[in-house]
Amino acid sequence: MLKLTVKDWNSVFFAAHMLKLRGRLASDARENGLWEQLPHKAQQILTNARIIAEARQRKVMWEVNRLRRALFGFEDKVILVKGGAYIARGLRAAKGRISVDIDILVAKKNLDIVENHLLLSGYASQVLNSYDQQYYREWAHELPPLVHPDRMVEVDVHHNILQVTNRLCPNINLMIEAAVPLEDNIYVLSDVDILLHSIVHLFVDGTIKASLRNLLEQHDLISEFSQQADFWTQFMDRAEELGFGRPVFYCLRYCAHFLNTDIPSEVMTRAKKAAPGFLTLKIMDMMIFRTMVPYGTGGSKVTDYLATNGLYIRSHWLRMPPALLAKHLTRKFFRRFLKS
Amino acid sequence: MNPDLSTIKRRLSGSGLFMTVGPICTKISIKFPSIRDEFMHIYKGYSFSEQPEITDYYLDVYAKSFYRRYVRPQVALNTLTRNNFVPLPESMGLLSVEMGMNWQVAFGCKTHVLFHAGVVERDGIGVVIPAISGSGKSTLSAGLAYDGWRFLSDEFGMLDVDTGLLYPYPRPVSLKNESIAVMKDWVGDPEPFSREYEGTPKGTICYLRPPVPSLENMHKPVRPRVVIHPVFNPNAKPSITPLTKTMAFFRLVRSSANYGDIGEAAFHALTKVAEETISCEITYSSLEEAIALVNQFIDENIS
Repeated sequence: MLKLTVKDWNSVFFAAHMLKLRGRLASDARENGLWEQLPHKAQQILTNARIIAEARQRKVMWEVNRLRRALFGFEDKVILVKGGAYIARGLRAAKGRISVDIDILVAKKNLDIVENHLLLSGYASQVLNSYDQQYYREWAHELPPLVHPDRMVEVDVHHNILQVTNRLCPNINLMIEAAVPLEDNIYVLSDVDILLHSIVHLFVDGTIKASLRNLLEQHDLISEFSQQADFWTQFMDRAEELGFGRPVFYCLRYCAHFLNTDIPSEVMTRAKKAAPGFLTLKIMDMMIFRTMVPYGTGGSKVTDYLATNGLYIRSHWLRMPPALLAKHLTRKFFRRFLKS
Repeated sequence: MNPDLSTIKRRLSGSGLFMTVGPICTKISIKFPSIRDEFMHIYKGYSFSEQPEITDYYLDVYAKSFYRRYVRPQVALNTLTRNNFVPLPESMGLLSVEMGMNWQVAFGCKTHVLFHAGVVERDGIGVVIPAISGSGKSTLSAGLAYDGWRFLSDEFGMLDVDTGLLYPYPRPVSLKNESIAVMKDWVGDPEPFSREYEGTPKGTICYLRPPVPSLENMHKPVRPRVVIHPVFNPNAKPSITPLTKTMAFFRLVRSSANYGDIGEAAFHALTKVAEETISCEITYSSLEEAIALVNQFIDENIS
């Protein structure tokens, strides 16, 4: 960081902005003791990023407070997932993280009760279109997003971590049972499940475009959790139990490749059992290498485009059986067509 | 050293020009020649560079398609943080440049407490003029600027959280409706004005470049000493109502765009301003009256 020219700084800030990693950069620069030696202007930009990240995290935690009030009287588990959980637990993955919305997981049988509590407290659904409402309720793993008009922070209420139609959709009750209490009926997932959720979110449900941030999140979680002696065994057992061998393989492979994550060789060997065939892996590598850090690399635009969209199509392919996917996309296509 | 005019023009139409105003550096490119000319007129004498500097914000003013460039020209804006601004017709082009820059500062700047306020200086005394739209804030700050005061900012007052000093951010003043004629009369010379943009959501808008000495001192901060809340009322008698420190504090909070985001540091900075400044509300019916009231309040209270 100390040898960067003005041009380098601008490229770094540009990429960090697009990858939503400016806040993280600010936090790392301070922790590594480089802060005092950075150019004044760079300090200024990083300070902006740090304050924005802190303010967002404060907002998210305040929303958790408001959720608890809205859910007064509901006594079953409310599980904070993703950013909210990292912040609440003070995990390394929360450092400089820009969290915008808040995600909670509840048992499916409680979905209506939770939704009613929130609606009665003034939260309003952001999805008004009746097809979308129906789509969410029938196929999605979450309610249509809810927002309280006073605070405008989106709350996503999940009952699973993947769509019920996804071929990897796990038995979520196992994760809910293993959740650990934080305060009253606010819970977080167990360590191994937190990491698995992040992996599934990126490699099964996500589009993987510009997601270095998510990979870094997994790197942080692995580095932090693997301090415990039996972490790796627990983690690999759990991955197999829930049927997440393939995405875990991808995560470990790309974490090691991009971030030099410390992964014991016997873990890697065990993960490889769930690896895809040679050709699939080659294609996946090609797409991931091109999209993980898509800015400023100067690669060919055509292959970048194919890779990004290939991953997008892949995420849809995994999400629903082909017939349902065709029906959904036809519907979306005609809606767009009629609008314009 | 500023590049020459043809270089400025070339960079503006091409890969982008670096413009530094106070603590903020923006890289700007403008694809419409008419807007480029208007931009270069209103930003004459500002500090430009073709050498890269560490850049806070990016602003790209462009046409979305060939059709929107030549047939029914429409201006689109792209900043890194947002690119879905409502497009404007080319005839209102400079508005989109100003809108884009304001938006980026309002949402991106957290190193300084931002006030929706004018800031001016006389004899080392920093005066903050916070106000809601329509109270005459811009007219009063521009009026003082062209009456020998130093102009620091109109849209955004910037208070450094660490030093407690006000930093200049002297962008052109945006004058609206009746105040345009008042200021043209006050300044006397049409040169520092832009043309008038009619039919905007806020009525007619005209931009006024701050005086040269204010631009030359755009890196010199000043300590806040006085806060004045103007109230324009065409039928009122001129009056000065002092404000308590508590009231002064809450009024400052209300006028700040990023107080909540900065949090505790902003609270301490504003507490200090409220404690170390004197505040009042002035009611006036003409620019001359307002300027006289400001001078009177300062002369009577600051030795």
